[in-house]
Amino acid sequence: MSIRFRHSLRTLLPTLALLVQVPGAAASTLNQNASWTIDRAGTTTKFRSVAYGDSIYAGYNGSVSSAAKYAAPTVNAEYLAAQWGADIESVRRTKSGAVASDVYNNKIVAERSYMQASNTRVVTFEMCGNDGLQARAAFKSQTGTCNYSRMAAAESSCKTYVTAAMDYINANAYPGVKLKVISNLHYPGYAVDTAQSSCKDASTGATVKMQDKFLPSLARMNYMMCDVARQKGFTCADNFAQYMAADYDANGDGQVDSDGLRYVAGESEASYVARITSTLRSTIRDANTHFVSSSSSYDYIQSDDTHPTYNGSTITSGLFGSTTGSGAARYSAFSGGKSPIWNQYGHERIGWAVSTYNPSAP
Amino acid sequence: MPASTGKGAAGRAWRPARGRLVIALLLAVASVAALWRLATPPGSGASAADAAAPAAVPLPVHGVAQERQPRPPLPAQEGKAEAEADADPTPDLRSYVARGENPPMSEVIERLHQRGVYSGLGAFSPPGTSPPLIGLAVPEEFILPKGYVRHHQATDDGQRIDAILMFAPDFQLFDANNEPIAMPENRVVPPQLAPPGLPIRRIDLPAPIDAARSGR
Repeated sequence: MSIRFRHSLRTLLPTLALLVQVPGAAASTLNQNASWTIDRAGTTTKFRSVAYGDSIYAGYNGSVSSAAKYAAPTVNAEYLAAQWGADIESVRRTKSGAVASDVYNNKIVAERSYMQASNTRVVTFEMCGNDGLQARAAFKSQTGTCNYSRMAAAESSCKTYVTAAMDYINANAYPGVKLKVISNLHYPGYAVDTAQSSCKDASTGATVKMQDKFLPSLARMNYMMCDVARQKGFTCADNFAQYMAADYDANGDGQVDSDGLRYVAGESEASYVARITSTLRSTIRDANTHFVSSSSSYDYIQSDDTHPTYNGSTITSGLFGSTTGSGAARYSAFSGGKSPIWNQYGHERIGWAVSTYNPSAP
Repeated sequence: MPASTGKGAAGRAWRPARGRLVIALLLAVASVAALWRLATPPGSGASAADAAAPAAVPLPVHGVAQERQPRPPLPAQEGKAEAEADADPTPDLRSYVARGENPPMSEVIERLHQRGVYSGLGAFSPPGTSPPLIGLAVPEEFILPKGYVRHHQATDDGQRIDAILMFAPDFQLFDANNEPIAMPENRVVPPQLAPPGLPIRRIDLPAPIDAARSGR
């Protein structure tokens, strides 16, 4: 190799590497699919539950190659197996880091075939968490005058794609599907967001408590998800309520705190948002200390302060492909419709919340 | 230098440098690939999935939700279902990590941030951002006095951590003179404030199932 060639190579290789290897924003996500069948003894009848979404339904656990076996959709598959006396195939078509448009375009639409199988009985999805996370990160990095447009854009995009997703599922899922569920969002990092912003509000000239800006935005998104669901034949697993308040009456208002936060079918957005951001605001706690009683709490959030905790082992899902497997249920009967660990892990809680809408028969 | 001679200054015949030709070719290929990638919005264009799926709905384009609305979906499909396969046409992290490489998520996030990418996995906090609280073990059979809480945690790889003793929110201890005792900010009960009768043992975190992974 000539000296001139070596010199040229040395000069140009970094350029080549840059062109070939630098991932764009779209490539910063990670497909984490899985198919896990709850194999119930004494039956070969199998129904399917299909879940679309981002890292929450993926069972993300801080790894690029594995995920929780018992992510929320698979938790619900256990409930379904017991209720229907059948094997349940929990299909998870999910992409960690995906914003709502990505989940809609590249999972729900591009991978619609999974909900078209004739044994599909449940379709569930979740999205918008990453739109919110990215808007929050952008806001936190702001200096100077605060610009709230990114949060507004996240809300707008969320509404666009949630609505589109429900329409698409309604039109394209197997007609025998019995249950369609959307899961709304918990608020990761609620406690951390008590900090003040670096930017200053244009009208007051002062920094803002970030929680005061993010909570109303999240509340509007969560209201929209549940309310659009009501209008389009979906049910809504209200994970915000499930995660963000105690399972006992801590404030003495006569109702369990987590029940008090729940979306009420038909209420106005103004009513819901006022209840979350003002009336019952004092009952909201970070989900890393979720109180199931006055003397017992559970951390629903992993060490990244974002994703739900889970019970049990992991499965291959991510860089090295996905898992297709089966196994017996951890629990095959549910006293009062609840597993013994229904309120002890984040994923168990979502899975239970979804299960409350399960029809009695397939 | 007279061009007609076909000689360089050193008397060599002029021809394109072979090395530069190779580099130019590589650059051209890489540029075309990069331009194609940039010019093809995720979720749009004729992907393999779309080609095999006549039922596909025209899609809203990724990242421009404010300007474009999804068109109404097509009616439900009649007849047989499509073949099931990985049909997401967009590149993900797999396209950029060498085969066999299994980087810890903290490294992936750090690399993305170094490249100015704060979307996707780049918007996640790395494992260990909020590590598990370490405190006194509190056995299940131990009866807690008022104001104390049994707090349960789990590792990122799904293992239960021994419950620790914490103070209830807003609980205040007082000393013999009825003066308020300084309470720990994170509410984790230190040994000196443990209730009588509690065996003093600090919890240990379970070892990671896969020692290679990062996080707790």
